[in-house]
Amino acid sequence: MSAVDEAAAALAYATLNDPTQPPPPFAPERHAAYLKRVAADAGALEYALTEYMRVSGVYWGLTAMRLLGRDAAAELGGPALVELARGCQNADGGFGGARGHDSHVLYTLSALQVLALLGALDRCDRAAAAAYVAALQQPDGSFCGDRWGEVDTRFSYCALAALALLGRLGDADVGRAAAFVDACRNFDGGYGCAPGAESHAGQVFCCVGALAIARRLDLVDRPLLCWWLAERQCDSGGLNGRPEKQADVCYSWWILSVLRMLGADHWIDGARLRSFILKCQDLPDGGIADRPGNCPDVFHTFFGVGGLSLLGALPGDRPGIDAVFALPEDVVESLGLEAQTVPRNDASLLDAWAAERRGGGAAIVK
Amino acid sequence: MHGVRKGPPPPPEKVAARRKKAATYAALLKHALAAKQAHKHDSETYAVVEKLLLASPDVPTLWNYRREMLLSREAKTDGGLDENETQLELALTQKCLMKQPKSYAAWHHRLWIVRRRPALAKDELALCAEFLKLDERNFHCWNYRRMVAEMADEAVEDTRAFARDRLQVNFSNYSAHHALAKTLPSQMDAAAAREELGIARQALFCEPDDQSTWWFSFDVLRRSNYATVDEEVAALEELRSLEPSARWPQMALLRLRLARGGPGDAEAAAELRDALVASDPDHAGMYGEKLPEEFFRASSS
Repeated sequence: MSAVDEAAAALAYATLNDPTQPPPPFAPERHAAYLKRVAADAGALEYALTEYMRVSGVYWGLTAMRLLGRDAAAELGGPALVELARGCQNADGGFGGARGHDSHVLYTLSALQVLALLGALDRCDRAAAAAYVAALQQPDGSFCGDRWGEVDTRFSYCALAALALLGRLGDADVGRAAAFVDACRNFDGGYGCAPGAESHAGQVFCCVGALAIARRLDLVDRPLLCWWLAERQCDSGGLNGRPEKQADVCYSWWILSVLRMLGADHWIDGARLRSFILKCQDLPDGGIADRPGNCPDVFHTFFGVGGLSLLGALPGDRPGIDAVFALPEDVVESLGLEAQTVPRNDASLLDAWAAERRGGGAAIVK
Repeated sequence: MHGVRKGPPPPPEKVAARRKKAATYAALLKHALAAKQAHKHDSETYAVVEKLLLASPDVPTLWNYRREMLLSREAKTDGGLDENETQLELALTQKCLMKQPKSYAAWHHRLWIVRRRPALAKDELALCAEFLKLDERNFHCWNYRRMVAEMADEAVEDTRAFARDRLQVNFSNYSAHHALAKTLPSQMDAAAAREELGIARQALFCEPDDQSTWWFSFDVLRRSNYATVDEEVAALEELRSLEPSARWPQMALLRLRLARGGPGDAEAAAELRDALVASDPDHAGMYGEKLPEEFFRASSS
């Protein structure tokens, strides 16, 4: 690059990262073109290195495409994707990230989501999939990711969501699953990957999502958690995942979805978050990056579009996204999926603080 | 991609080189997965798997294959993992983690190895200390440390000392505050709370909007049932007068005054609320329309 080009690029980058500057308009056509392009470019290094999670990539791409109001199956090749997802199912009933990869609950959920999006859940061995997932549950209610024993609250969400998609939630001990998630609650109201582990907004989505499916949102410390989540909004308008970290588009989804589940999405400034996401668009090439001026990927494109969908910022007649199941609302409705959510209400953080004083007895605060 | 700045399009020769690398990687991966299917456990395949993991440590099936090979050798020798094999696995995971410190799969493989040789757990604490110097907030490493500390029966004083040591380096370290909070008793008396809040206050007088220290302080206050509320209010009023534009001292004072509900607290809380809504409109919905009725009822009763 010439010195002039470099200076121009630096200025453009600085402008994008200046919160006082207005965002560019939303460019859905370019994002759709981007999603088609990366799905087709099997010779790219990024494609080769992400083979192990191919079916998750397909889920992100398909869902983003649907939220953009496109005929995702027609544009991305529905029949081939059904075959791809079916090909991930192994003899143990679980799904790997791609054909030939071992089963894992992460990819089992992604594969089931892909099949659900394409109306093809009956094209896999549902009973075997449910048995695989249910067998990962441990006596303390937690779930292993696969037969090698890693435990993480991400897997609690994946397992319950997968069983719900299969209509077999009763195959797990849902009460115990909720109790394990509750054991991961921290002093900030958030949740970590295991009991004792630090709160992280991505894990918070998994834990609150799992509790929503288990219909145990009563276990959540709503004011404390929503406060902690609301404090994730940075000067840029974007959300970070933990205190003192940089904002990242993916938390637009992880956090806003939880605030929606808990009826508190008005605790952050939606307009400034929208502006941050719009600045993370790659214009002119399409796709959404983690931060303004960075390289896009399918993961952040999905979370950016998902965040805009929750903000009601996607124009036109297109399906919204379900905050618990992370699927278009029409898919969730047609499958009859149900989860608990707290209706939006005006109870503020200050209301909660004031109310704490009443029931305390000898204690000022319960 | 996380944290990758977009530049001008790469030159054609770089694109071609990346495509060649992709083809090589895809072919080697295919080869390794086929060998796994065929239960091949020879040293040539072992080397291919290692090469692939060093290129990308996030592929769970390759670590599974590695473990299958180790288990099959173990079954033949009937003696568990030998010293040499153990060291090879530790060295490989360490290299992978240096490359990709957030690789769930690599951390889990290391834990799997150490669980089979629990005597190693103590040495792992030293490795964690090194990794946490490179990235003090790596939650994978903190979580791993928590698990190996449990295996090594680390005393709670030592866990606390490690967290405090990290906070000495940087008091904004939320991960260390979390770890420290985990060592606190569920009920604290005024003296214990005073000690912790005193340390926190030193940080807050340097950096009045340090979220990390504030969240920790709120936890200490809760655990002590606000036993030191009067001295805290006094100290925070002083901090606020020194740093009138800082938001967190105002939040904390509002919280404390709502908790206390003594003479003058209602007026002060109402003023704090209005100031916060004016300076921080992002969170107007969180603060609510006005000071809660509930508070006044509780104060007068």
